[in-house]
Amino acid sequence: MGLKELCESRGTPGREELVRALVKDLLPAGVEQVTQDALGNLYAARGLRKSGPRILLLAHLDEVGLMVVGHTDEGHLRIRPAGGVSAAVLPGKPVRVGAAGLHGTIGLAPAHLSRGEDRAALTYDDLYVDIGSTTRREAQQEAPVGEMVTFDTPYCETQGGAAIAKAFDDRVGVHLALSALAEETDFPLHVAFTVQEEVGLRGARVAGRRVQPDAALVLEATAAGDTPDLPEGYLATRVGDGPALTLVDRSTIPDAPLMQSLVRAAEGAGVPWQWRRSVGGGNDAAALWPQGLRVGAMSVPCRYLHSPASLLSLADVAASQRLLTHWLQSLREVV
Amino acid sequence: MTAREWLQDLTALRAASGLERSVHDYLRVHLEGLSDRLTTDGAGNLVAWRDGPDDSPLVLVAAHADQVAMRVRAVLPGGYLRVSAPSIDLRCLQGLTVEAEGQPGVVGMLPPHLRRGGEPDKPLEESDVYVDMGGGTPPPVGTPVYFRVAPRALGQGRLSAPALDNRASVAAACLLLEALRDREPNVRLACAFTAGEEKGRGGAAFLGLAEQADLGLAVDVTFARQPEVTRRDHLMELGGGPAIGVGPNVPMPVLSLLRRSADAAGVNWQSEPLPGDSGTDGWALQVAGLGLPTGVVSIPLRSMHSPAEVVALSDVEATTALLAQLATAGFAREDLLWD
Repeated sequence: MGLKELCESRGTPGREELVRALVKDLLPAGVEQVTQDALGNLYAARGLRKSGPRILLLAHLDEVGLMVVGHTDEGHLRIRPAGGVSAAVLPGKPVRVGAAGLHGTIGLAPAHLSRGEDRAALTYDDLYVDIGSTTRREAQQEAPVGEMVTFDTPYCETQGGAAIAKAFDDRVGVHLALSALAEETDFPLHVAFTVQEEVGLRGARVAGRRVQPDAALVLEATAAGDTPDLPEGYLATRVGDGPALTLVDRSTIPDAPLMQSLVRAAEGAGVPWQWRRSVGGGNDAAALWPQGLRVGAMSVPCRYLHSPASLLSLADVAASQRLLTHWLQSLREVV
Repeated sequence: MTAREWLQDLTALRAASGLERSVHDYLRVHLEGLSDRLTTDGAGNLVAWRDGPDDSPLVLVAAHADQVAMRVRAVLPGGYLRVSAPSIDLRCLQGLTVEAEGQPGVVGMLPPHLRRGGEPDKPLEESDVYVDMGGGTPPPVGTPVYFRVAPRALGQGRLSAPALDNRASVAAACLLLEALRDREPNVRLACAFTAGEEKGRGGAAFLGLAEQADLGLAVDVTFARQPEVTRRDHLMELGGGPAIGVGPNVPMPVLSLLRRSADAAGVNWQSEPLPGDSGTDGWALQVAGLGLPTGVVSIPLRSMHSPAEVVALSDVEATTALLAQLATAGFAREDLLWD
């Protein structure tokens, strides 16, 4: 539901308000209750009068980006990452600044004029955002310290059925959660659209305690490894092979019966699926697991995460949607 | 049309060296009413002519139409593309949206999640770069791969877009022809939109025009001062007006004419030191044919050869004003010769 709009919406950790407002607009009919907490987590629920298990789906609203941390005499903005963003992906990229979305561009000293150590990998100290301001004062007014800076990458689709956009992590999860809310359930279904995942899974911690579900499923984008820069053995997931189910990652051991129920649902629905073949990484599940909750994670494989332009397969998104629907329908027997 | 409108249109076109047709096609349509005739030559140059008084000097204004681009060098298993990227600032490529044959793709990179512990961010080598077209039929070897970044308005009348090198100058030449719609020039004018500048300036060198012209002016872009360019205090100022080149490419009489024209037009200008090769079409024009008085006028630009090039619209307009003043005031051929 609105994957393009969701990806093009803008929200760094702690500044999720634009994305949250969009998600509220996109909430399907049938949602019975919408609430919000102090952090900005958005909760939507349906089937509240049903008797079955309480199921919680989680998808995070925030995306990695940058923050304005200072200004130069020439009117440029100094930046630091908000979430994990390598300085290597920044040079030359278009950005939007602040909630108003001022156009900016990340400048770099031309290669012609750089040599020796200047040509080494750029660091945050070397980079700046040019919004056209010509004085420090003007820059401070246009883009005060603390404003968010997001990548400006229009969503587009390739001939081969892939899509390219910023922030698939985790707008694809938000998209899946919204589509789950559109369907009738015979148990209470809660969705938490969480904040601040990218700076330490902070929204999910509160969401777990507030909802206290019988089982929780995290909907995510996960790193693919099917690219020429990785040896085959390092492959985590492959784009186009279907949703990835987590056996274990750096911070969570998902509930085995729950994950097996997802495998059965995938096979029942006749959709391709794959194990996530990496024990690194993590997601909001890591915030819920220590609370003693049964958690699982289903992710859409995605290349070039945390960069201005990531890529996923639209067939994987559709398969994830079908798997999720099938799983939710089958849940009564599971829990 | 305003400078901004010309630039919005012109930077949306894609024209790798040798494939300038898209720019030429656009210009053919938009300059039809602004020029007396349009001609082409075998080297791929398009020339827009504006007639002046018979026997008045012929001024050749050369602005290159091409832009830097990558080219597909090989198709890897999985449909990934290896590319050659001469002149491209490789540091801009990771995570950049690009296009080939009008279709979107992305320059791949390893996400931090999959990097091995502590692996530092290394600068990319050309052989590290790969383009992911997201499936479908891969484009054939040789296909140009362009930055897919839309032009954007910044504050203070600045504009950022790829290919401002050298569409900024193409726009200045278009604006010149537009300015001369209502003002009679006192020279004959040939605006040449040259081919292949980014590939050794082939187009300008072959301009047969050089033999007929009395003055050759290369209009190009040059490095503007920007943060982190250290030890380069002599760079041009963005917004400081056209940079008039000083050096062996610009004989003193031509330099005087350019400076006089800028002053008479009432625009700010700056002197750009060019101790050797000016790096512009002017260098080739000067020694074309029997030798030609040449000048170099450049528009300051930041982050050259990246997707984030930036110009000030006022510099484009001031460049046009300088050229329009020169064309309307005219000059005598002898003015261009050393005493």
